[in-house]
Amino acid sequence: MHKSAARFTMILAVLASISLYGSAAAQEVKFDSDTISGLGARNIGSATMSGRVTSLEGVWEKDRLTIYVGAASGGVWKSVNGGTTYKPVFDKEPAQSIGAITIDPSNPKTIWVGTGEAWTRNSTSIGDGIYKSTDGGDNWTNMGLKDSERIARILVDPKDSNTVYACVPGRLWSDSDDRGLYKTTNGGKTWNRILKGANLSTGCSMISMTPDDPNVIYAGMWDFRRKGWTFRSGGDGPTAASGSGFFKTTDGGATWTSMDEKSGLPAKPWGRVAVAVAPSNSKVVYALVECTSSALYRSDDAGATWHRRDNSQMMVWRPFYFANLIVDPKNENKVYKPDGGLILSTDGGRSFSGISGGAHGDFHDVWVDPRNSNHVITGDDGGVWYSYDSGNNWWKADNLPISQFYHVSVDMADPYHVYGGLQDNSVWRGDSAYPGGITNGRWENLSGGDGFWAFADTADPHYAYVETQGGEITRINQDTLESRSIKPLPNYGEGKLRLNWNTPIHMSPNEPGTVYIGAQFLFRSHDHGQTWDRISPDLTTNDPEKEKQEESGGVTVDNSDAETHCTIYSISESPRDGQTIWVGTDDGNLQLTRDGGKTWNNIVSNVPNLPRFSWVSWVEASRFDPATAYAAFDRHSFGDMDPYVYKTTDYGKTWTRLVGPESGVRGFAHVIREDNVAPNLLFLGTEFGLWISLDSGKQWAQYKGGEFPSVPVRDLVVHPRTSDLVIATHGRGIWIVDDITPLRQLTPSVLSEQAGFIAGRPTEQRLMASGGWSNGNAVFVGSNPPDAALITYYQAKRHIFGKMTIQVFDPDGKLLETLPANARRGLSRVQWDMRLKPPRVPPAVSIAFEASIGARVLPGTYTIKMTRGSDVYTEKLDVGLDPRATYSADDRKLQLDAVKRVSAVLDDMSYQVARINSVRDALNQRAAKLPQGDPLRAQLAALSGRTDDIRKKIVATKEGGAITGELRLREYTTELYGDFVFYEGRPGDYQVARIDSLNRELGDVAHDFDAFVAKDLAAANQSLAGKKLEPVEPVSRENWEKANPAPGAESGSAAAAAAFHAMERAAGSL
Amino acid sequence: MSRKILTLLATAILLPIGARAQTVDDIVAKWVQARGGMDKLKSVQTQRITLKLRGGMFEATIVQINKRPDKMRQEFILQGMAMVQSYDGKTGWQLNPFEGRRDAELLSEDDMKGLVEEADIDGPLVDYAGKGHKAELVGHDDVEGTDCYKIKLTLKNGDIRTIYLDTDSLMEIKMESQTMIRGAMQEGETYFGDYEKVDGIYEPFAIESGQKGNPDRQKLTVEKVEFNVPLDDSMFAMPVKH
Repeated sequence: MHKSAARFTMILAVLASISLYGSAAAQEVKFDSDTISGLGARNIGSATMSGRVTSLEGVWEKDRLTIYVGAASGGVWKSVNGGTTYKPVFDKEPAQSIGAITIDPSNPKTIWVGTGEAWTRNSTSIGDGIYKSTDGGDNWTNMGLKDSERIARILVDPKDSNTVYACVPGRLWSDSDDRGLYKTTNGGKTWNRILKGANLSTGCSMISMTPDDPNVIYAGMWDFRRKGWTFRSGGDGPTAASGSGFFKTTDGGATWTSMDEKSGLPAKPWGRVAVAVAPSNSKVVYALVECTSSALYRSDDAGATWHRRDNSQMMVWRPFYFANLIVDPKNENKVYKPDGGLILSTDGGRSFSGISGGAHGDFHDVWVDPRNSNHVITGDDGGVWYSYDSGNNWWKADNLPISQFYHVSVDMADPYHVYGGLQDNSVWRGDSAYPGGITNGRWENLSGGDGFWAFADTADPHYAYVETQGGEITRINQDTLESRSIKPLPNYGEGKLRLNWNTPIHMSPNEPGTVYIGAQFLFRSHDHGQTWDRISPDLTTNDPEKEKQEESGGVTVDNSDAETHCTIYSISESPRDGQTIWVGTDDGNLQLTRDGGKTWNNIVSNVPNLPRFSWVSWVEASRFDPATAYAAFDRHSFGDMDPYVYKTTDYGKTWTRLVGPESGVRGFAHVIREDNVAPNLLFLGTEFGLWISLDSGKQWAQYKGGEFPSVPVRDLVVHPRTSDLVIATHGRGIWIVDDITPLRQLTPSVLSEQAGFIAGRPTEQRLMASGGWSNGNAVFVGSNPPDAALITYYQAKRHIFGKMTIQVFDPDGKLLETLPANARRGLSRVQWDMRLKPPRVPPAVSIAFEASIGARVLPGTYTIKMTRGSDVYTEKLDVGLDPRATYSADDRKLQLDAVKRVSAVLDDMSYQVARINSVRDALNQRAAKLPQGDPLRAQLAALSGRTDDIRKKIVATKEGGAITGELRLREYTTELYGDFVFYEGRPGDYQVARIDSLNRELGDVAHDFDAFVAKDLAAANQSLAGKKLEPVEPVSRENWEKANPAPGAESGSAAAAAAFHAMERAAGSL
Repeated sequence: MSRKILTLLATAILLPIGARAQTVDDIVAKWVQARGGMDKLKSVQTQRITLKLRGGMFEATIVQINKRPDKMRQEFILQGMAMVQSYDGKTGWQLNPFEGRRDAELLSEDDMKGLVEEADIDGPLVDYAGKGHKAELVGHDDVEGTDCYKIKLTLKNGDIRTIYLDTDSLMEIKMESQTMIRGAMQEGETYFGDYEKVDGIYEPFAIESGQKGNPDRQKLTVEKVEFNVPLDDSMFAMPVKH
């Protein structure tokens, strides 16, 4: 594969033959997103925990409420029905972190989105500028400010849609001059900075516009910086100098007035500043000022003087995360303040009440309905919530799968479960498949707090190890949910263990049940946490300058464990050798032991072109070779957003960089994983999506299958049994690519072919089961894997002209099915439902739906054949039973035999009805030829009526659509057919016996008709002969079979045409 | 030399002029030509298309007939029974016999939008301006890895069809639809492929259709396309109650 890697690159081959629409001519070999994205992905959510919402906006359009929701790292979601349903509208854009959403007050179709969250927690993502849509979110254009990284607020001049203000806090992790308040007067074509910070770490934190004069704007400016080990809002300490300030302009930003303690505001230095002008009174302005005595301030004279108001805990707590104020559109004294809890003042800010109710908490934004102040929508770390009583009670949005997973693992149940923890949303176990779909209720909460790693105990899957922030590891009984803390503790005099916010736990791939956890030391337990062995010295740099978290926060101390540093961050025991363990630390050490922890070597200095102290985001021991490992370094906490991914094949002595800026991969790297089977197949998750390499990292392509967005990918795992790729996104929940076996086979030689089949895993006929119930439209339901055989193939070019079909042949070579193919370039998948054609059913008053579905074929080896123009490709397809099936292959044969026998009865029945109808129609036709009053005419009509009486013994005939309860032989027989088709084990003896009795009853009716033909019809024919009219003969079976071939016979279009003409006649006779 | 390279070369050489000359009308004209030419298209007075539909575990036959200027009828046939939807130029109606009822029912203006659109035998893009629609060349876009011209067609009634024409062959390979039904937008997408010539006109023989963004699309295989078959007007008219 290595030698041929050059063939992956786009080759504009000069070809000998010219063929306009030819399918045989080889053209270029491409390896890109479209090569691999034909393997679709399905999102299993969940929306039950949902995820952090940073911003939301609503607008009434013709009496219907449109809502836009901005997710912290899951894009923009739009509802046009007040929240009943949402769709993501920002998925094609290259960044998914949303800081601000604003609807143009003059045009509800013009939407501005600022990317990059402004609630600057440790895990916050990054943006790439400001976007505009002029069609309600269908299409977006990046309008610049590309280096802003994050945008807190956008305001559109209500009198001029081309005048827009963007409040840019700017870069969180590094100095930057791209911050402050920006203004455009030409709809975003160009921007001018109209307010600049006092230094390179001060940007704009909030703006608010006066309702009656768009030139009057208030702006909070904020000095802030985050590092891997500390954060400051304001200066380096409560009294350290800070660039934060508060300004007002009355001329659209040409000149600014600084507001400070002279006007009644608190003494500087300050941290974050929030501001909101009352929409109903331009004189009333509220400001939250973070300082050593943080509080809400109110001005009643448009900012000339300020008065101190509330300073309750939820007013002043963690301003970097919650500095937002929302004033009711109609009532200047009603103010919402999002915080850990949501609080509301109805007395102009004098006092506040907690109104979080049953909502999640950690609120960020509020929208108040301008038509009805009781109707309030809020967004918090757990999604979106609606209130119809001004915040007294909350209704959860169950349809926003914007969940922010940090990690994912799988167990070996069938179907397997997925496990993972999320930002402020605990640790969950979910189903990978469930009859009826993966509803929110198919997810089980296993913990609390901020969730991270979770694994089913490999020694006893009734238990799981789950972990929340700061190394809080518990072992939980999955049946009873009883849990036990097993967090390692410090020794005498040791102070504290340093445990990362996202403390790694790791299951040994060699010893079932053995688990690791990393503080500054590495711990291992062989007995489910009853005892821990400390198997390393301090593996970090133990830099005291990076261990001053008690001083973190800037103006307001904030030491939540989120900045705990000099910790172990990644652990990997070699699957080839349990004595070889790789460890990466957040402060840049890469440590290796080859003797089970007795001795350790820091090998990071062997990694070329890597700045010191780079955060080791991932280290992964190869499953194929103990000397091989992969390491990803994440330098975004230094302001460097490039991916750094390396590989060693000599126990870390030398490293090769697999991914750098020139690779085309975007975003800092979170996870690098090797496939379970193909050593050259690598998966890389970055802040901007999932990337796949087929050639050990030489070339990378972004995976976009199933509309997978450019969302942060924090972890992924290939299921060892199913070969499903399970992806943990931080912002869009868990996604599954079913069966990635085909990726293992995409060699350069396969890619250079025009087309060909790519084998997948053996197909299982999964149990037929139905589940779920009516949920309404307002819930997310995760997709199941397809209930079908997946047939995968590759095409170098899209197929446009001429037939392309995929045919399936049974083990005896009989054609079973012709499937339409997907035309797309690259990998494609079509589904074969593995079903035979349904039987013929006699026409009756209604459809027999249960008989419109064919039975599944028996397990065996089938042949698939692809015809593409003049080219033909074939492949074998192995079909087996579901391993969970309680029936055998022989039982399946009995079941299929019963289906075939009851189908034969339906075939016979169809003929009998056709035979009766042929006589009835002919009698009617002869009668019509006789003059009115001719006795024979009446006699023929009477005979026709008698044939119909016989027919009514076979089929139900009462028209009108009412529930008639009319059951005849056809209805009994199709019901029995359904019983056989929908359960694939051995049928009941009484059910099989029923075939015979129904067949006999049909025979009785046929016998009655035979007697009628022999006696009454024969007599009538004699009379007809007397009138020189043709005798009436029932249609023969042979002729009927010719006109009504059994389904699956190769004359589909003739049958369809016949059916059409039959319906033409039927319609004409209505 | 491949067609792709020819296109690339042509683009490279003609870029300064081509960029200006590439109007939506140019591309629509080329598309009409590539399909067989306006004369051919206009020579079709009636058509009958027979398709096979796969949905879930069952398979049905669909027959659609059209007659100029504005009549169409579509039948969904299962077990020999046909569910009918039809438009006769004035009235849209349906008949669903599957549950035992044989009476035709009127369709609302919104529910028959699709029928009215399908009743235009040429499709809305041919002579779009004359029909009161508006077309705009949005630019290029990628459809599953294939470069396409993207044309936004705003129908006279305000609904939007976004049409993707393969830049190589000019065949339509995708259409996205936005249709307002009772004030709520319904979004669909349809893929076209397996083009074959029928009486000198390229017609798609593979069609996939579904809700926008949903990978589970219904697959339709065209079995037969017939032009200028005799079709009586009465076939499109709403039957009287029997």
